[in-house]
Amino acid sequence: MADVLTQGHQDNRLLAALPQDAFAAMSRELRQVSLAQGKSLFEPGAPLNEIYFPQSGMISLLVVTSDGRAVEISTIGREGAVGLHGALGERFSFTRAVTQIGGRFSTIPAGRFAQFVREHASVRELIVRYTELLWVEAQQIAACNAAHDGEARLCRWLLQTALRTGSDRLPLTQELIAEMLVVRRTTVTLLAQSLQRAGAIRYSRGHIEILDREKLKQRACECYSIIQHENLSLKTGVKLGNNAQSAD
Amino acid sequence: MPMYYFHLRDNEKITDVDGTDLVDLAAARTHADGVAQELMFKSTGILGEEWSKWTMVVHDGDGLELFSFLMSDAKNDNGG
Repeated sequence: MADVLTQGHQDNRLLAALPQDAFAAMSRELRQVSLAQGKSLFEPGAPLNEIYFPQSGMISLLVVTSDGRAVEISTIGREGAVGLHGALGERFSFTRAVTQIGGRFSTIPAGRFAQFVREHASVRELIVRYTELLWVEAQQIAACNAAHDGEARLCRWLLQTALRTGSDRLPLTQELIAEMLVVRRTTVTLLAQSLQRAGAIRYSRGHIEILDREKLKQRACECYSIIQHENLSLKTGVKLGNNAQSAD
Repeated sequence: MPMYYFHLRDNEKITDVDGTDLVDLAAARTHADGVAQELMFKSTGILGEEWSKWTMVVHDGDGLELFSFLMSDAKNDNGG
């Protein structure tokens, strides 16, 4: 049972990247939870008192505007974690963190994780470098939302989501995608129809399946290749673990 | 609220299978303009032709065509 859980935790590539001694100590404190789609993990201003490492689902970080709209600035899947800054002292969330795709997650209280940060320089270094990686991604997505058309952003977002979750079958409604891309749902419906006719995807209510990754890549903006964490990791020095199978 | 369907037509047809609840025809026109703007924004079109050459055709829930316009004629947020 312990081996099964350890393997589950190391499905998260950040946890898999930890030195063996650090992970061995931390694994005793990690819990595995299943979270449904749409679960709010942090609201803006909330204390970062828990850290979430996705094993199979995906978390979106959303900036909430005064009129109630939520604009996605980053997605975190099995290659990352949410709430890491909570281990550096008392920290508060600037964004809403919500499970965009439900799944299995490893969690640890921020206070307990802080102990490992103090005891293991390698864990601290990983947080700093991963934060840099997220910052680069947020900058790129901000530029993408301003500069690129809906078609390119939809293709980029589908590829990115498949990469984060390790699956080409995505349980996503068009309403949700429209909210993430800040376009009308009708626009997503028409673009999805076009992509389906082109043989790139198949979709039914609430589900999208990527059929031809290359066709999506041809239509995606350059942001997709830039924000692939594998590419960013080379520039920021984050060494992701390889236990999880790559979707790309 | 009535349902409106926003299809695209050129040599081929792209169907809005879901439709959208909107309060009235004026809201449907505004919605159609917004969708056209979102599609045409720096886009060359998925099927290899520019979206601006496509026509948006809006139907009601009974399939009756209410209005249509060339995408390039869509009004932007500033009314232009």
